[in-house]
Amino acid sequence: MKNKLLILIPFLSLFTSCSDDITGLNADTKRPTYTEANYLFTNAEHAMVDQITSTSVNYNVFRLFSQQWTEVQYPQESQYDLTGRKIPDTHWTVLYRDVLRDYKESKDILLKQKQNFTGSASEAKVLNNKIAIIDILSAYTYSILVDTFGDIPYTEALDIINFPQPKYDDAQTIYKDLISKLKTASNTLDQNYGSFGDADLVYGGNASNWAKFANSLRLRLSINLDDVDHAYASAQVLSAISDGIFTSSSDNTYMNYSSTQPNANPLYVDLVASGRNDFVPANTFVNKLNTLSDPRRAKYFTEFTPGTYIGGVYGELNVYDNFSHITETVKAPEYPGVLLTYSEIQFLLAEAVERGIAVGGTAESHYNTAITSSMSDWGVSSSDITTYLSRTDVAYSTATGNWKRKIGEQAWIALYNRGFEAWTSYRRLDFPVLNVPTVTYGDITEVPKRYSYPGAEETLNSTNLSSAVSKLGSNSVVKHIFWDKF
Amino acid sequence: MKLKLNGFLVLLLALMTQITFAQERAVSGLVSDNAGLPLPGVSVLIKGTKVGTQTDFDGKYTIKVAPSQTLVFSYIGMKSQEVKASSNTVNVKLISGAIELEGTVVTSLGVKREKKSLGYATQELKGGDLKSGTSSGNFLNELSGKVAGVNITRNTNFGGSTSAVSRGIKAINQSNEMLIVIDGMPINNSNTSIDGTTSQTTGRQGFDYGNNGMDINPEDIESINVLKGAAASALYGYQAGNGVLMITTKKGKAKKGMGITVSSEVVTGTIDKSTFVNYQKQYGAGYGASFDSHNNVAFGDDASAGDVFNPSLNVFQWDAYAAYPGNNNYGKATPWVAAKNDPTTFFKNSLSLINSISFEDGNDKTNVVFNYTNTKQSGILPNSDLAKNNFSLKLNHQFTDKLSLSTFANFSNQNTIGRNMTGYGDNMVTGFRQWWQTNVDIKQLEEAYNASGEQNITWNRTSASDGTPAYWNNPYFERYKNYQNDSRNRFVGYANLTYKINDWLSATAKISTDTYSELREERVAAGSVGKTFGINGLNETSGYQRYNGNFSEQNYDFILNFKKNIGDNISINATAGGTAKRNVFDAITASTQGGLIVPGLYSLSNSVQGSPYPYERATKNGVNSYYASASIGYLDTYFVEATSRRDAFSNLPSGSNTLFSNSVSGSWVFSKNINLNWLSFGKLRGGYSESPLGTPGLALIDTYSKIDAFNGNQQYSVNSIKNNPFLQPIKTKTQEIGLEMQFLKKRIGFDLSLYKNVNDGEAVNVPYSTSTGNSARYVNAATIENKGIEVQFNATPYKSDDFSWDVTINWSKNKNMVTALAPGIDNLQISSFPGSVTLNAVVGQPFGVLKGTDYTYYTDGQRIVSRTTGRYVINTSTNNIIGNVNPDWIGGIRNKFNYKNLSFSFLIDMKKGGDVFSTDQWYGVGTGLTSETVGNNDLGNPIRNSAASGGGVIFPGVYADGTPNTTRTDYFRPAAGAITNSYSGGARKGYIYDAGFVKLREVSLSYTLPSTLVAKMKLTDMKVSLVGSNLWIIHKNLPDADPESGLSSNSGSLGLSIGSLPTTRNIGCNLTIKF
Repeated sequence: MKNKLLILIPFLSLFTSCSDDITGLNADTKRPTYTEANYLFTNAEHAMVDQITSTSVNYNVFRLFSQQWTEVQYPQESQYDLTGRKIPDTHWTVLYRDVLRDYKESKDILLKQKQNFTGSASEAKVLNNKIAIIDILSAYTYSILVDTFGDIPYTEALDIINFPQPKYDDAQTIYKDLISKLKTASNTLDQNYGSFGDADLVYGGNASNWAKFANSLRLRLSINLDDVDHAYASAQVLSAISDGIFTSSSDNTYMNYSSTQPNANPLYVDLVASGRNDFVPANTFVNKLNTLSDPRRAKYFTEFTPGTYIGGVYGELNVYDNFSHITETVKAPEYPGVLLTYSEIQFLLAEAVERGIAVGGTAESHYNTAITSSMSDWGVSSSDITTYLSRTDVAYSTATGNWKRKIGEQAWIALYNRGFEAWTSYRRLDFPVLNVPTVTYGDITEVPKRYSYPGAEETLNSTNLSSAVSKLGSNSVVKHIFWDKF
Repeated sequence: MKLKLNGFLVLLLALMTQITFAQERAVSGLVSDNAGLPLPGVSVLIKGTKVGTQTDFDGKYTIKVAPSQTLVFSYIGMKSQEVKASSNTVNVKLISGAIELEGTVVTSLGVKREKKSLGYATQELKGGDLKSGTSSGNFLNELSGKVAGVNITRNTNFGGSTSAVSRGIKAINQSNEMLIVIDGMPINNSNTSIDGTTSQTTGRQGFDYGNNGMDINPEDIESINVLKGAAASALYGYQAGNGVLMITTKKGKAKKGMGITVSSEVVTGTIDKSTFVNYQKQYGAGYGASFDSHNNVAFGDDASAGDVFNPSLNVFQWDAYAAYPGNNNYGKATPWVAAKNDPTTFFKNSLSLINSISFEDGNDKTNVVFNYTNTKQSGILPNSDLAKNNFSLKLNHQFTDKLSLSTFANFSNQNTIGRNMTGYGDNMVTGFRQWWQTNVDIKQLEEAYNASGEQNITWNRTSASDGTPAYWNNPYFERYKNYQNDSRNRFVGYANLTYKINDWLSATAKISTDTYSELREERVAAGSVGKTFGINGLNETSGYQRYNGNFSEQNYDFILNFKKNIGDNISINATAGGTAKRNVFDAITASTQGGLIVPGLYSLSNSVQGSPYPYERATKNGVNSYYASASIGYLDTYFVEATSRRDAFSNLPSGSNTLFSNSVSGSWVFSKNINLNWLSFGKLRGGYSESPLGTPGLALIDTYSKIDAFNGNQQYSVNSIKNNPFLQPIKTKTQEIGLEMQFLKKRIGFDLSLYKNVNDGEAVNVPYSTSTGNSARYVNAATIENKGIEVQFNATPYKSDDFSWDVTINWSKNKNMVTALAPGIDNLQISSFPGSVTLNAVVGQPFGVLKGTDYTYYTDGQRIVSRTTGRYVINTSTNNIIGNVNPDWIGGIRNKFNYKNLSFSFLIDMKKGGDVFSTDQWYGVGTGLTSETVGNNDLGNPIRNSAASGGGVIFPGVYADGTPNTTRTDYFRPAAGAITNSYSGGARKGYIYDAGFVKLREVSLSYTLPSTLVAKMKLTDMKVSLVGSNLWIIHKNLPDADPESGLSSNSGSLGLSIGSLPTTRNIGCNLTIKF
C-alpha cells in the first residue's frame, strides 16, 4: 500500500528548486542599467528648452506674467492663480529632476570615463569640452530657478541618498558661484575640438559657440546683480566681455525643433495640435506696438482687420474671434526654442553703460543695435528698421522717460515670445508699466515678482523651506527676489 | 442529580450487555434525500466494522445487523447519519451537505475546521445570500453590507472595479484588497487599469477595466467564508494580511431527476436622477456674454454662465450653422430657451441577461458539476455592451479508500465594448457635469449625428464659420466612433491529490494555475477634437492604441494534515507544508502617432508617423514558503493554535529575502463550563499573528527610461523613482479578541471582535522634494495602524412552522492612523486630483486625508469675509487638511421573512462619514450648470445680477473682527467668467462633502413552487424571484452624484467624485428550474 505514495513524487520534484535563491526573478528585462552620456545630455537639453519655450498653463505662464499674451475662456493663470495647476511645482520639478539630474548623470558618466581614461589626447579634449558644456547648461538652469524663486537648494541638491531634504542656499551666493562656474567652463572649452556633436541640439557641439554663450549668460547674470553688488557686477561684466560674448545674431542660441511630435515645438503642441484656442496677444503689449506702429506687429500677430491689430484685455475673459492671433511663424512645429540672443545682449550692454560700467559704446548705440538685431531676426526690412529707429518715441535721445523706461519698453518688445526673459527684464527695470487685472487670485494687487515655492516643498522639505520663506518674509508672489531691489 | 445519573448509567450498561449478545438479522429500508427522492449508491456501514453495503437504484438496501449495532449512512455531498439498527426497517432521510458545513468553516488552504475551535473572527455567506439582489456581474458588489468589517467600495463604471477592504487600509503602495481564494487556490484580483500612459486612478482620463476577481462566476459559489484578520489567514502568508475571501465552489450531488439546473435572470436599470446633475434652466451658454454682435451663441464656451433665457429673443445657435439633412433650423435664428432634453436623456435603460445551466451528478466515489453561464449586459450609455461566457467543471473522485482527487477548471471569456471613460479630460460625462450649455438639446445632437451620416456635428463649434469642435465632440459621435473594446480570456484551475496515509495523517499535493490574456483597443476617429492619446501622450485628432497583457500564476503546494484525538479529551489538528508561487506578467502597449492615414482603419500600420516605441513591461515574481500549524483542543472547550511560516521572496535583495512570521490564538467555549438555560453558546477568543507583506518588484536596481529619439539622437533619462538595494522584508502584526454568544436556542446572538493591526515599515516609494533629482525613493518607511470593532448580530424575532423573521446586522468601525513615514517626511502624497486636491498619508492622521486650499475662520469657526470685496478670504496653502476619506462606520441590516414557500428579504446598507472632493461641483457650480447657481437673493433679485444692481449675495460669515458680513458682492463675476466661490476665488474646502449614505441595497421576493406542483410539471424544483438593487438612496449628502461612485477599486482614487455615471435602480426577475 505504501508504494502508492510514489504517486506524489512528481509533485515533490517541484520542490527541489524551492530554495531561497529566487531573487534572479526580479530582474528588469526591459530597461537598461547603463546608458551613454550623450543620450542623457540630449534629453536634458531638450527638456530644458521645452520648459523655457512652452506655453502650457501647466508648465510656463511667463508670457502671461509679462503681459505679452493673455487667455481667452479660462483666465485663471492670467489672474495669477499658480496653485490651481501647481505651476511652481512643475517648473521646479522639470528643471531639477528632468534637466539638472540628467545633466548630472551625464557628467558623472563622463567623469568616470575621464578617471579611467585610455583614449587619445584629442579624445580627452572632447571629453573635457563635454563636461564644460554640461556645467554651462547646468548654470543656466540654476539661474532660471534662482530668478524664479529666490533661494533654492543648490549645494545639497540632486543627491537623494545623502540629502533627502536639501537645504536652501542663499540666492546671491548661488549667483556668484554660477558666474564663476561659467567663467571656468568657458575657459576650459577648447574651441579646436568638438564635443557632443549632433547630440547637442543647440550648437551641434560647437565649443566656440558655447564659450560665447557662457560669457553672454555671465553678462546677463551680472547685470541682474548690479543693483545689489555693483562693484562685483561691473568686474564680471567686463571679464565676460573680454572672454568673448555674442557678436552677432548668428551667435543666437536656438534649438530647432522637429516637424512632428513629440519633438515639435511645445508652442505648436499647445497652439495648433491641441486644437484649442486658449491664447491671444494681450492688449498691454499690442497697444504699445500700435502706438509705435511697430513693424514687428505683422511678424508677431495676425491682423484683426487689414492693418489693425487688437489685443485681448489682459487678465479678463476674451472671445478668441474678437482679437488678433499669434502668427503662423510662431506656431510652426519647427520654430526654434530660444535661450539667448544678440539683441538681448545689446540691451544689456546699453543698460551696462547706463549703470556706469565701461563696456564701450554708448547706451544709444547698443540700444539701436539691439532693436535692429531684433527686427532683422524677425525679418523686418532694413528701411522699416531705419524708419522705426528715427521715430521720436523710439529714438533713444527723444523717447519718453528715464533709461530704465526706454530700455525696458524696447527690450520687452524685442523679447516677444520669450516670456521668462521679458518678465525678468521687467522685474529688473520696472518697465514697462503693466496692468493688474480686476480679478486676481487671492485678491493680490500687483504683478507677481516671483513664483511662490512649490506646494510640495511645504510637506517634503518643510524645515528648509520655512527658513527660506522667513528670510523672504513670506511665500507671496509679490515678494521681490534678492537682486530685484526696486 | 449525581445519584440519578449513576443509576442511569448502570441501567444503560446492563442494556448494552444484553443487546450485544442479540442475534444478527436482516434489516432493510429506503434512503432518500430531503425532498423524499430515493438516493442510489449510498454507503451503509455497520459502525466499527468493515461490513457494509450500498443502496440500489431505488435507494433500497438490506443488511445483516444486530439490533445493538449502529448503521452509518454516508454519501458525498450529504450529511452522514447514524441510526441504531433496533428495528427491522430503517428508513433514512439524508440532508444535503450544505448543512454538513454548519459548525465547520473552511480556513486557510481549504482546511475545514470546527468554527468553535477558531481563535479569530470568520463570517460565512451562503451563495443564496450573495444572490439576494440583482446580479451585477461582479460578485464583490454583492458582499456590500453583508459582512462586518468589510468595506465594499463599488462604482458606477460599466464593467468597473469593486474594492473589498477588510479592517481598514493598511498599505500605501501595496494592494489593500482582500485575497480571493477558490477552494484553497489564490486568484488574481488585480486592477490593471493603469496602463502606463494614463493615470486613471487619480482622475485623469482612462478606463476602469475592472478587478480581475470579477471573472469568478457567482453560479460556482457555494459559500464564501470571510477570514478578516491576519490570524485567520496566517497560512496564506504574503497577500493574506488584508483578509481572505475563501470561496468554496459547488460540488456535485447525486442527481435528482436529470440533475440539470437552469437559471435565468433579466435585470433592467433606470438612472437614479438624484445621482446626476440637476440643471438650471434660466441661463444659457457662455462665460459671461452668450452672444456676439451678430447674435451668434458663444459656441466655444463650454459653460452656462451666460445670458438669461428669453423666448422672444431669436439667436443663431449651433444648429443654425450645422448643415445636415432635415435641419429646419439651418440658417435660422431660434428662440433663446433652455433645452427640452438635457443630458439626463442621453442615458438609456441598462439591460442584463444572465442564463446559466448546470449539470450535476454524484455517488459515493465521484461527483461532478458542469456549469455554463452566459452574461450579456448593456449599459446606460449608448454603445456599451459586455458579454461573458463562463465554463466550469468540478470533478471529485475517490480512487481508493485512501487516494482522492479533486479538480476544478474554469474558463471565462469576456468581451466588452464601449466602457465609459472616467476622470477629467475627454470624459463626456465630465463634460455633462462640468462643461455644458443648458441651451443645447441632446436629442437634437442625436438627430444631427444620425442625419449627417454619423458626422461629428457638435454644439461646441470653434466659431460660427468653423464647425470643428472646440473642446467637445458630439456625444453620440463620441460613443459610436471613439469607443474602446477589450477582451479577456482566463483559465483558472487546480488539481488536488490527497492520500490518506492512515486515520490521522494525510498528504496533499496540489497544483493550481491562474492565467489570462487581455486585449484592449482604444480609438480616436478622424474628425474628433484633439485629445491626449497614445504612447507619448500627444494631442491627437485620430489614432489607435492597443494593449496586450498576459498574466500567469502557478502555485505548487504540498501539505501534510494531521488529525488525531488523544483519549477522549484532547484533539490535535496539525498542518505542515510548503508552497512555491510563481507569477509572470508581461504587457505591451503600442499606438499610432500623428493620426491615422486612412480614417476608420484601426491598425498600427495605419499611423501617419510610424508607430512610436511600444511600451513594454515584464515582471516575474516568486515566493517559496514553508509553514506549520498545530491546533490542540481540550475537552472540546479549550483550544489553542499556533502557526509559523518562513517565506523567501524574489523581490528582495539576495541574502535578506527571507522572513519568519508566527501566530498564536486560543479560544474558550465557556458555555461548556457555565450551564445556563438561556445561553446556547458562548466563546471567548483571542490571538496574535504576523503576516508577511509584499515588496514591489523591480525596486532594487536603478535603470534608465527610454524616450523617443530626437532627430535620430537617442534620449534616456534617470528614472524619477530612486530604487533601493537595501529593502527589507516586513510584516503585518495583528492582535485580536472576540466574544461570540448565542441565546435562547440561538434565537438571538452576537459575534464581537476587537482588533489592532500594525503594518510596520512597508516599502513605499516615498516622495521627496524633486530638488533631490528624483520624485521618490523606495524606503522601508510607512507604518499604519488600524484599530477597530466589528459586530455581527442575529435575531429571529418570530418563528413558527410557517413563518419566520430573521434579522442580521453587521456593523463595524475602524480607526486608522499613519504613525510613521520616512525620516523627515511627515506627508506622503498618494494622488493629486483634478482641481488640485491631494490625497495624502500624514503622520498622526488617518491614511487618506484630503488637502487643499481652505477658507479662513474666525475663532468661532465662521468663515472670514473681506470687508472690501465681500468674498471669502482664502488660505491659499495647498497643505491644509480639508477632509478624511475614511468612513466613521459601516453597517448593514438585513431582514428576511419566510412564509411557507414565500421568502422576502431586504438589505439596508449604510456608511457614515468619510469625505469626498467633488471636482464636478467645483467646476459645475463655477460654470453655472447646477440649479443651486440660480435663484433670488434676500432682496428678491436674481443672484446672478450684479451686486451693484441689487443682485449678488451676502456670503454667510464674518469680517476679520468677528462682526457679521454685510458686504453684498457679485455672485457671478463677468471678469472671471464664473460663479464666485467656485473654481473662481473659492476654496477647495467648500467642495468637500460627507460621502455617507443610507441605501436600500437589495430587495428580494422569491417563491419556491410546492413540490407536488413541480412534480406534475416533471421538474424537481422551481423557484421564481423578483429582485432589486440600489432601489432607493434613502440619504446622502453629495449633490448630483452617488457618493460611492468613485473611479476605481484602487485606494489611490479614494475621496474623489468626478465625471461618474449616474447610479441605476435595478429591477429583475430570476427563474431557477431543476430538471
